[in-house]
Amino acid sequence: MQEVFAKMYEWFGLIPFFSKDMGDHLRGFDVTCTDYIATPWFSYIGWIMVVTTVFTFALQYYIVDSSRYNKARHWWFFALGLVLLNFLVAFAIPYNDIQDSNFCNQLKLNVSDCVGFGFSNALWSLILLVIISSIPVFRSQSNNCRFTTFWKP
Amino acid sequence: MQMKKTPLAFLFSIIPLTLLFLLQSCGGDKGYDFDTFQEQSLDFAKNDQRIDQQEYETLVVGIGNSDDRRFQSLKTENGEVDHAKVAAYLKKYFDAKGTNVALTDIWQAGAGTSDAGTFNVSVFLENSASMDGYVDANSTAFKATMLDLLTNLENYPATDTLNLNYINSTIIPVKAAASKTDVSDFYQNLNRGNFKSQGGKRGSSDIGEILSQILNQQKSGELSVLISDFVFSPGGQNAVRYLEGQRSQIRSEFVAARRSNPDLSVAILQGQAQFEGTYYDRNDKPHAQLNATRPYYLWLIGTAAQIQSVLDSKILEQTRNGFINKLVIQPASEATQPPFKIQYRPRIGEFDSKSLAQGVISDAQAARDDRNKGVFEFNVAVNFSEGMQDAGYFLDSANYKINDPKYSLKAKPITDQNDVSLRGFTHLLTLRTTDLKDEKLQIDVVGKVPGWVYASSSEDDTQIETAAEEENKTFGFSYLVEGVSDAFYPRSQANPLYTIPLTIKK
Repeated sequence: MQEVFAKMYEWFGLIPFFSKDMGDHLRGFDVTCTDYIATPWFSYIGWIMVVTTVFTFALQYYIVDSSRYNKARHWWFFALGLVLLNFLVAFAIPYNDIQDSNFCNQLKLNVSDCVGFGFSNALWSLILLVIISSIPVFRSQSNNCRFTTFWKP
Repeated sequence: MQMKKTPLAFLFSIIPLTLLFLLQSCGGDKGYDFDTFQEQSLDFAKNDQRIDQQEYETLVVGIGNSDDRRFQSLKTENGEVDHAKVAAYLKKYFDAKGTNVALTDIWQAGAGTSDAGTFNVSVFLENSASMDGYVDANSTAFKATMLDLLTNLENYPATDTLNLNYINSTIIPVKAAASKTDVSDFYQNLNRGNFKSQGGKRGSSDIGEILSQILNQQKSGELSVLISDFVFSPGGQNAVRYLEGQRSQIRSEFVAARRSNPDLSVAILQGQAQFEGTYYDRNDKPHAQLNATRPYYLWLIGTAAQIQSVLDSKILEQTRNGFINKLVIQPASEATQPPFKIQYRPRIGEFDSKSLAQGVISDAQAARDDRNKGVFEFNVAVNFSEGMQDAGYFLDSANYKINDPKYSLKAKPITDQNDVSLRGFTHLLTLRTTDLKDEKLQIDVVGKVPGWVYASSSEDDTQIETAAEEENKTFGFSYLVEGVSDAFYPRSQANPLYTIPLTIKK
């Protein structure tokens, strides 16, 4: 799963928002620069992104499930919260590692890499939320939001 | 708001919780993962800066029971915990975390025991006339070194019995099973008068004959220690022809000795001490009143395990004045692989880090910038400290052989103890090529006579009083060492002592 998330966050090599070195750090290249035996952050952060996205979807469509919050703009409001949360998670973890020098000193990491990774994570959470909420069967059981998507009503 | 719980609603509520639970447990199928191992080891080391037996065993049990794949790097191919790798990793990890724990403070099974066990040590001090200048000198440097050396050998736990001898044309036993008092007496008697009274022919040094006597009398499991200036005495013969003859004789003696003891090894240490007295040059012409700092040598002749045991114990370093150069000549039958690590940076060109731990450089690309166009360069950190050779041996690129001659190699010592990625390694090898291709690259450290031997060797010592450099050289020394080296490292063979296998993939 680690490599699936890694490829996803690296946009399959097409549009990297962060450096290859940051990718190595997030894969778990350890502080002694020996091997990939440190925390596999791609995997952890990837799962956190999936969990929070599914939860956000459930929150709007099944937990809140209110006729007051079933417009497209409300969808975007929930999405904004999700995106911000995922940006913060993905930014803060490598940023803390940089601040604590908890990374292989042969990797060149900087804050823009953290921003890039945060942006990637936020974007993927948005894409996942769009996909889940665009599939009618997933929202079919909602009482008040079954017709709510990111573009309507 | 009407809340009607449907199966799908329940599903969407439960999925995040399930995933969260999975996330919590991910990384260690049996509860103990690499992160736990790291935290636990830091906790153990925090209070007393050491990992004791109980703590170490707790860590090892955790590793052994865990299915976390990250522990593979601390296990053998058979899946068993590799204690050397665990200790080395812990050391590096503690260093990285700023926790001051020495490698010796990490408990290890079997640590402190030597493969060599206990053995007899026979010391042979050459007492020919050429040695008088060392014991007659006002400076007591030579005698002090001898006292420390003999005391350290006598106290060394692996020494079963210490035997003291003089040697010239014959072996002159002084004391078998020497005690501290005997060592003290031996030291007190280090003077020309006593040397003369011991008998034997002191007039010339037949080094080939001296080595022959030692090798022939050496009993199985015994370590011989020979101390001499090792200055040949051609006695008016053609010097080069004489030295070549001695080289052949010494080679023959060691070839024969290796036949009966295949594990035979030799360590040669060069010391320096004040010499005041008569020096006899290659024509046996006396140079009276030579007052100079002159080299002398300590040879250890025994099994590789015995020599490793003595060298590891540091008793030679602990002698006053110490030794300035060291060479170990050992059987080169099977090259060992030292711990090594390909460095991700610095480098010229690009490569991927994913398989570096397996010694594989993948996605290698030569540099494209104008300054280094076509160049591919990377570094390998190697730990040669577990071997017996002097650290300086590994700095000479002439002592390396690479199977692809299009690679060049430079070696330098690792001195930066603050660099976490280099801790635990002694040398940094820089490899460079302009012909990058897919290949298995093999770097061998080969057995040969090191440069310091040639720098310390003279072929004409007749001007020793006026040529300052000659004072620091030993007549014919390189022939002597070549004779031993040829017996261990035949010139027709590669003689690899260490091998570092790398794979380059474009």
